Amino acid sequence: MADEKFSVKQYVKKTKLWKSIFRHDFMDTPRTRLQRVFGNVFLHLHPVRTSKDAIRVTYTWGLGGLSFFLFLILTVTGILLMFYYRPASILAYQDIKDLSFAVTLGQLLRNMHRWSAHLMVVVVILHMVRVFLTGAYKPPREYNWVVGVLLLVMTLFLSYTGYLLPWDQLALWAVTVGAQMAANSPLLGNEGPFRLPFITPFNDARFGLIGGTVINDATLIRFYVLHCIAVPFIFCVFVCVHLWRVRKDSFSKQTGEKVDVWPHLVSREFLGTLLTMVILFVWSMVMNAPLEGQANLNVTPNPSKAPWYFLGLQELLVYFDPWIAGVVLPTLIIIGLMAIPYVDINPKGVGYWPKMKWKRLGWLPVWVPEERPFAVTVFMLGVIMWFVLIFIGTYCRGPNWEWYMPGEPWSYRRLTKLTLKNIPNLWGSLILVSYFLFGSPIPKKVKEWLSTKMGSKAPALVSAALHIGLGMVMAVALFVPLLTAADADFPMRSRYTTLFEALGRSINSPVVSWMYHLVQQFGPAVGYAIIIPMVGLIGLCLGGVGIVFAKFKDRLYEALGPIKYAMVIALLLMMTGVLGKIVLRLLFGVKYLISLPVFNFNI
Amino acid sequence: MGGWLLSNLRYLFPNVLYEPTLSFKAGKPEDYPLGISEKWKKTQRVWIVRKADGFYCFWARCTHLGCTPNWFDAENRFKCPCHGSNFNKDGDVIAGPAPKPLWRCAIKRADDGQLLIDKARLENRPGQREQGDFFLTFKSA
Amino acid sequence: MRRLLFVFFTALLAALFVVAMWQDTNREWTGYQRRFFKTLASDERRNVPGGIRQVIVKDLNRVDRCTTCHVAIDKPQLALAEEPFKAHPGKYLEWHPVEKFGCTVCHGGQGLATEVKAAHGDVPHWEEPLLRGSLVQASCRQCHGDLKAIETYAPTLVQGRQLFKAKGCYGCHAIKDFGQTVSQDLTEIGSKSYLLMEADFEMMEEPHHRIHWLMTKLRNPRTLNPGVRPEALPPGEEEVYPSAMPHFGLSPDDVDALTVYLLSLTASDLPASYVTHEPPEPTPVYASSVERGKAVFEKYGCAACHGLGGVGGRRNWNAGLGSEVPSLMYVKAYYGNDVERLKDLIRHGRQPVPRADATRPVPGLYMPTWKDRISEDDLDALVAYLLSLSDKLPQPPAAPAPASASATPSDQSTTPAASSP
Repeated sequence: MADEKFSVKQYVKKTKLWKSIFRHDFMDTPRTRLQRVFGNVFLHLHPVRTSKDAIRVTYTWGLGGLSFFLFLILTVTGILLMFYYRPASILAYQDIKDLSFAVTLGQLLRNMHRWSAHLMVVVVILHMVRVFLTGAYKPPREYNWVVGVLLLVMTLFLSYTGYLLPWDQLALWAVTVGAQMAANSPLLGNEGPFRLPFITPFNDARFGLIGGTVINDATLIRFYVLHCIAVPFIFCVFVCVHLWRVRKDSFSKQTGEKVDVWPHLVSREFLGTLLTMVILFVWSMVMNAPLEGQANLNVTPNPSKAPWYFLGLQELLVYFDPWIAGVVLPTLIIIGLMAIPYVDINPKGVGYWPKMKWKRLGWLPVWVPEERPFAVTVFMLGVIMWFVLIFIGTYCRGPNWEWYMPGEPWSYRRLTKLTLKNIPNLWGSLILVSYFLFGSPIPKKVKEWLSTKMGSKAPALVSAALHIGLGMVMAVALFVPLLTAADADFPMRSRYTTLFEALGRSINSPVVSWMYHLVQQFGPAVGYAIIIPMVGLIGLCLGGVGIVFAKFKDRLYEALGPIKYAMVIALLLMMTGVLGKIVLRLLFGVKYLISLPVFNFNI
Repeated sequence: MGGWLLSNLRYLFPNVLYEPTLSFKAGKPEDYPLGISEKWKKTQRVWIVRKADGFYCFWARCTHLGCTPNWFDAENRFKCPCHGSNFNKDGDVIAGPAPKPLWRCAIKRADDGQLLIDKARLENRPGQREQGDFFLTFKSA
Repeated sequence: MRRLLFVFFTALLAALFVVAMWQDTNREWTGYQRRFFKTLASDERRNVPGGIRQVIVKDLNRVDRCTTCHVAIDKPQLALAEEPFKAHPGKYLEWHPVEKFGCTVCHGGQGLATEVKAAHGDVPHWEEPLLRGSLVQASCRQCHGDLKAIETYAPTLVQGRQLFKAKGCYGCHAIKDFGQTVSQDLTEIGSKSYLLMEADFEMMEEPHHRIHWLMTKLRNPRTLNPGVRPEALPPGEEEVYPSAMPHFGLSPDDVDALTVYLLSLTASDLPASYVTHEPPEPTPVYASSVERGKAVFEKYGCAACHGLGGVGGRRNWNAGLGSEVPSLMYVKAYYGNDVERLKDLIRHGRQPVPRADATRPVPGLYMPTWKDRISEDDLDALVAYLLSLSDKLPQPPAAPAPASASATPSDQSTTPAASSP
């Protein structure tokens, strides 16, 4: 009796009830560790053992698991919120107010739901960046990357549909901005270019999205169902595939000795979830989710901003028509992202972060990764552009989408009037064609043919001539209309007969204004004597840029083959084209390069 | 499978709408003199404009902050009393802080020959607003 | 190490949860209620439930939680002397029982809120501010169409309406189809969204709400709309004149009264069972045509631009004749011989008003058309009144009898001697 103490715990553990639930003991033996993972439905997605290097936090930062955990938090808080929220326009706003004022812990719950949603969008994007930089999308993991991109789209869509539910001014007009982009889809949108003949405001893409022609109760219930059931269901299915694939394709890092998942990986995951909960709790207790006045279709707030993750696209509306900024570009981004594993034939870089080095590009020192300079640079350029545009849309845009420095007080009394002119269609087309021709490589066969026909120096010379020629064409095609074309808005909407005068006298076209004042001050002879060589110089510089990349382009072509190369270079040129268009707008006051109002088609 | 998905898609496009109709009949086109008519400004918040070759219709709402401008025949412009925005006959901003031209409503002829204005559909882009559903050709005899 | 972190974070999470629960159970209103309940005897306390108290007024689509803190508002026997435990003054709750009306339909504020600042509407994005003091009278008009009947209880509101007519506001503004369209329609000015007032808010001090906006505008319209001088404009842009709304020089009482009246002009549409309509005004009988004309002059608000009694003196930037709206005292001199021309001018108006400086924009104020508003009989009376205004002018000195004028230079030099009374 003295050597065996009676313990409740030991007694319970020996009962049939206990044994029916827990089929393993709790000793710390390798067998138990295996059973804990293998025998548990929630944990058995994990392997029993994994490599020691794989579980190091600094490899993945736990972003994928964090995304999943945030999804769980959102589901739980969302379900709890559903007990008090009614999706009708006359009830929704009041229910949100009730949650904030009358329901126990309602404000906390609402805040947690909102902030974990924002956090999930950030974490999901960071997870994608991590997977890219560690090369974990390369074969055999391409399909999982595509599933991941789909999950990203679903995350954004979930966030967008949820945004409408509070039914306040912020919600209503943010969704209106997004719905208007749908109306501008090519072919299927009522206000987009090349609208199909059977498309009307009563059956276009926008109508299907919001269930009507204006945002009202039909939209609210539709978004509610999408947000709470339809998309989460599909999301779960895809998450299952995603996690399954991580296991089946084996985790991207498999170096070092193996350790048991229980406890080493599981404990880290659990700590991560705890830390996230703490952060979310503090955030939710300190900062309230925004709620503006009740939704009112008659009054539009100025400015009306889309949710932050779409503000980048809304900012692009300054430089592009809605069908490009809101439909084409996002579609290309998604397709481009999905295509990455299929066009990236470089097998290097899987399982570790890229090592960065300082190199020289011509004479310019650049900080590039050693092993995948092109892929990493292009991808990160895209990511940085995305976030810079969001930053500008959030902090630098005020009423009427005018420019305000961050922190500058907004004024509704500003009288800025921008003078923006279109380049005549022919010249604009010339600029675009020559720009895209910059991407053309010189295939090996052509180079060989040139060498045999015209000597060994010929390929390099031809390449140089091609690029300089294209650069000159671009520069000429831009400056000639700026200097000589007639102003199509004269006399009804412009007081000047030429583009040169109209833009030269404006406040938003620094380059043309400078040229105009040059000619005014020193007379046309001297003025043009300075301007024309300057144009030539610009053409040479553009050509020079092409020459610098010529060798790389040719190598890329040889490596990828024509189809993949065309895809990659087209997407790359479109991405840098966005930057180019921004420059054209800000420095030259150019609105459209090609404008065909009849088809609603403007670039 | 494909059929099921397509029928789902059709299911999601409603056949009836619970939206207030923003369209109204504005009388016979012959009854309108050339120029800007303020007949419907108070009740429907629109101006009907007749030119030699047809009709268009403005939504009487300043694009600055939503006040109702007034038409001044002698100065040939709309002037908004709130912050001084001026618009010409085409709706373009010629003075003041308004950021965009005046919106035009869709206009067509109803079956009984009256003008049918639809305020739910608006357009203000030069090039778009002078054609399609936003300009009704009507030759003055 | 990990175990340590685990214990730390779990403890932290538990602590945060405790803090959140504590915050939730110790809201503002629990403090107020506790203070109040302490003053009650135990049997009194039994009859007053604690917790969030709300009044659901289904017909008005409102839920008011004001009684959560204002516990004794309808219990005068339990009320205390300090807010928020005072009882409602007067017999208003007898006439407007709380179950049928709630609180916010009269007092404004945010009924759904249970925090002081939010409940009083002193937070951004709530556009129904609490109507403090005499401002509460603005809500009476939602139901009481007959203001004369409630004049003892809503004196400021009635005074405001009288001032609106007397100062001639109808001359430029319309309320529900009556008045002019020179400036904005005021039918729903009391519920105008703050989003449409942003440009004006920039020019005023805090607080930025409708009450303050109306008061500032009435006190001095040009502070909210000072116009833009040519130097400050982008090149090629026209200058913008300051607000054409005249500065009426209203006293603070007048401003308050007019604010109350303007606040009462809302878009509220209450069920018919709540509303009593204004009885029709009896047609007045006038002693003379001039008196009738004076009534027409006042009814249509001519005084707003032409001054009370037609004295003139209102600024009209860049208008010919001294940048002012013309005075009507000299109407007889200009139109005494051709009354039909005067009538036509009133019927068709004069737009644009001729400019003093043709390079600057057209003046803001102009003579609108009245032919659809003033009937011909009223027009005749009005013209009679206008012609009679010249009688109020200072009389020219009486000329001496022609017989004594033997045209001696000394006599002639003394003629323009007598000064006018």
